[in-house]
Amino acid sequence: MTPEHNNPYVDLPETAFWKTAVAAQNPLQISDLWHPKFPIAPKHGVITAGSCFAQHFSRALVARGHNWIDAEPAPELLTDAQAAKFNFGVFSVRTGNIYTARMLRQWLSLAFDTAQVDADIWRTGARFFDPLRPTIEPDGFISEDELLQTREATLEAMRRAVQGADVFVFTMGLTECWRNKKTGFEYAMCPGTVAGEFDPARHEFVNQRYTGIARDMQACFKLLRRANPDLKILLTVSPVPLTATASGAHVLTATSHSKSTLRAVAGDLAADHEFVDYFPSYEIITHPAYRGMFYAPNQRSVIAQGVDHVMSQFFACQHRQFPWLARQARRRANENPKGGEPLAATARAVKCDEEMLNAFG
Amino acid sequence: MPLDDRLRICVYGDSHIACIKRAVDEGRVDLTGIALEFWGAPGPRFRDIHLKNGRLAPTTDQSRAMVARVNAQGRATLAAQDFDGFVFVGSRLRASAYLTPLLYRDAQPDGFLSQAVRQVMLERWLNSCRAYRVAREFAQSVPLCFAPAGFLNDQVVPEDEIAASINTAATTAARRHLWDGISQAMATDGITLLAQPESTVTRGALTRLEYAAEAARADGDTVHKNGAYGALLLTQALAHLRKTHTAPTPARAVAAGT
Repeated sequence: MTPEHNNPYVDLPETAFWKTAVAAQNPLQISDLWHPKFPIAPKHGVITAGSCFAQHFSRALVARGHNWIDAEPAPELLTDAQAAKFNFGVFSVRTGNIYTARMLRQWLSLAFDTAQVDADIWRTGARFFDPLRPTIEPDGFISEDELLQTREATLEAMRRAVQGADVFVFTMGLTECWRNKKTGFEYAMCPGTVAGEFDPARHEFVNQRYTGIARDMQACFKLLRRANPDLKILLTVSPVPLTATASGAHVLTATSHSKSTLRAVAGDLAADHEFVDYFPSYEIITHPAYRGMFYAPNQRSVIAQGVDHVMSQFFACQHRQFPWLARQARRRANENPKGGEPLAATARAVKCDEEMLNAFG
Repeated sequence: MPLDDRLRICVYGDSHIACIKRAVDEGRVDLTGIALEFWGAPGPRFRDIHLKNGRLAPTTDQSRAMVARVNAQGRATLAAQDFDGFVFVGSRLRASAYLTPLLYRDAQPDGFLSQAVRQVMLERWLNSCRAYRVAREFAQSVPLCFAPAGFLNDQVVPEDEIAASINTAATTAARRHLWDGISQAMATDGITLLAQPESTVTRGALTRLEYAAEAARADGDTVHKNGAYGALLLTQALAHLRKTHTAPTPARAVAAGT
């Protein structure tokens, strides 16, 4: 064997080489981007949480008949639009967007830790807003008590969801955040934007760094796995750029900094833990190989085709790694679940007729 | 004004008006000074009754036939001005679709809902019911009572279904709180609520079997009620309508042509 044939790159697959895996490919044909560590089958209960991009996961899972956990479902009387207005069915529990690792840690601490989180409550006029999720109800709450009872319902749903789930999908969104200087409590949004009042003496801007994010995520894993030792965690990074930055940098470079940090943390956590995996939805949308084709003209919003492509890659990689999942999916697709009028409804209609006829002769 | 000087009252609805008819047939209600008519059709045919230009009319042969059977006076269509008062019963507005799930949530550790969400639910419960929208229009010109279909029948609903959907520990106060909210919402539409009488309620959010339709248990009929139940509703409704009639509102005076 000649020296040039005796090196670690010789037997690597095509996907290891840019020329064959990327440059020679139509972007939409780039494949095998992910080698999942664990299967996500339709029977597996999946929780979704995180920044707004996580919503696409739940929709795709539901569309394919997967067991997405809706632990805090909307009351049946609400229309879809009304449910969405009150943030039901957006994530597995009504947390609203969880943009940062610290926010997730706060939520999980409230749900599972005996240690109390020193959380503020915002008041705007006569209404009360939860700084953990200030937009969860369009007009806030009528009282502090109502706010806390609603939050407790969400925490209970979170406990039940985590204990019954197989996979926890978390989409990491931001590094920039606002905190209470004294207590360290982190707000979902900057005070004074949608609710609350900004006070520079009490509120401070924090751009979280790799070490802190990694530490918060490790703490999250500990809380999650203490509640459910078999729980698997799938991390993704939101490809949606920052709306605004308070870092002093240009929003473009601030976005790069933020997403790169999150991507690095996610990758290292996946490398360090067998129960943690990273799915590269971020790369599929943002990488130059895709030429920005999945962004709307504002270069920020991800268009539907982008989401579809991400999710088709997700399932394709799952099926490639676990062929039994592909067989299962084919079987499910061949089934024809045609339904008629529910038997109970038909029976009830018959009973209505009978009751009326008996009374009116 | 009616020739015989009696109050003309119409009981309108779907198959749930059967309990009122039974109450009348069984002589359970004092109808002194009342000329009572029934108008409506059972569930599937009830859906074929539509309001057009202020007048309800059946739109299919089957619903026309059923209305003819229910209304012995041969009244083919129905308008607010035809009567001095209305009692809407059932008519697809079901306690089991609003009160029951809310009472059930009260017993769940993650069931709490804000007042804002509850208000949206209430508005949707009322406004998504076509008969309620009709009632709202009629109530602009004539006194109108509305009795939603009562709680499901105890000892008929399977126990596993009860365990999964009924808060059997729901209190009188919890029910009253919800009924009060409904009453207030209906009042803004000029409608008087006929809440399910507390004496007929058992196990939190069910109707006592002695108020269920005669063969409910044998037939597995979870929804319909009997004459005793109907009598409680009609007595309450007539008391209100008689009282209202003695103090006519301007709207009623206009409707009566006075």
